[in-house]
Amino acid sequence: MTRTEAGFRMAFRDAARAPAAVLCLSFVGFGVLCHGNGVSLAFALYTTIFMYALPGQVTLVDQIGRDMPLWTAALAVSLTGVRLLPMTIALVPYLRGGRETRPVDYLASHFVSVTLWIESMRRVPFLPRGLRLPFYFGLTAMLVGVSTLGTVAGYLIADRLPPIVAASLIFLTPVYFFMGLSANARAAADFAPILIGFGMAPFFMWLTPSLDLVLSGLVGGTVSFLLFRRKSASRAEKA
Amino acid sequence: MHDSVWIWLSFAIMGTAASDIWRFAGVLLSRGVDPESAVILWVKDVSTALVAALIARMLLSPTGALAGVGDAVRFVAFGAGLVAFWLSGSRLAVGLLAAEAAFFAAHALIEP
Repeated sequence: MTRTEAGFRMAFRDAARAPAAVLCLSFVGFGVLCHGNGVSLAFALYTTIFMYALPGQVTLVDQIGRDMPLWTAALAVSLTGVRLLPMTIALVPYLRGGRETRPVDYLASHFVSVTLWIESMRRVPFLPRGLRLPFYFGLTAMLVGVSTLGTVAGYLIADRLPPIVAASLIFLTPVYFFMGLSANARAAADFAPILIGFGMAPFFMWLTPSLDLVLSGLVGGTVSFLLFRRKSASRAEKA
Repeated sequence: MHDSVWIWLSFAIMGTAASDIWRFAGVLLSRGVDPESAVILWVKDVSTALVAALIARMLLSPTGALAGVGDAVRFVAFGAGLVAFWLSGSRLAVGLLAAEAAFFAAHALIEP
């Protein structure tokens, strides 16, 4: 068995069936949203494969549905996407083979998104180097596959789906995100950024609605780092 | 609603560019960085806090069909899901099913 096969097998076997199911249902919710906002199925599918970031896709389709101009939509989507920068910086060093950046690293980064990030960060660092990228792409294939299925299904059943059921599907995403983040957490230092970021969000949503995520992330993450990690990090550097 | 093919094409290109620009910048900035270094630990905390803030925004100011459901229903169901998740020893399926059950129950009770 090649490494690629082994990585793919591992991804499909023990990777996260519950996250895949949630993601699929979340994209059903997205398909319903696209249908309601006058977006074509082709465009909906395009965003699932070539954006592959549900919050950004929802923002884009929401902007289109409100007849916003391109530049306003671009600003809104970019601001929603800023989270992908620190997420990529945290994940890619584990996937990288050597010191140089290869084209495949850029391809891998295109799929960085909350679900894939959560599921990769809890497994990839503990895998042997040779298996990391194959496992990551196996996980990607599975998650992008179920997302595509969900998008099509949601679009097609949109007319027949009661609004409360559609709402319950959209509701699954934040619930899973929170559980996925805390499932990785062991020490106080792991729980701190989750709770501080979550707690600060309403304040920044009120203060600066468009920069709320960036500010909650920067301030919340830095506070949590200074309180819980700086001491252990500097101790490790001295030792 | 937007009609011309060009408008859809520009929205499509913009959507990809506005997402991938951050990812590609992330690959560039992470060059030669040790994944266990203090900088990366800080970046990890910032990412985690950002995702947590995104969760809060999804709950507090939801989009699409979820916007039609009252705050109380969302908050009660979210809390019930988390409690079930912790009581079951971090089993995702249990937490998610509990959250959905609480969602429909709260909707039926609070918003008849």
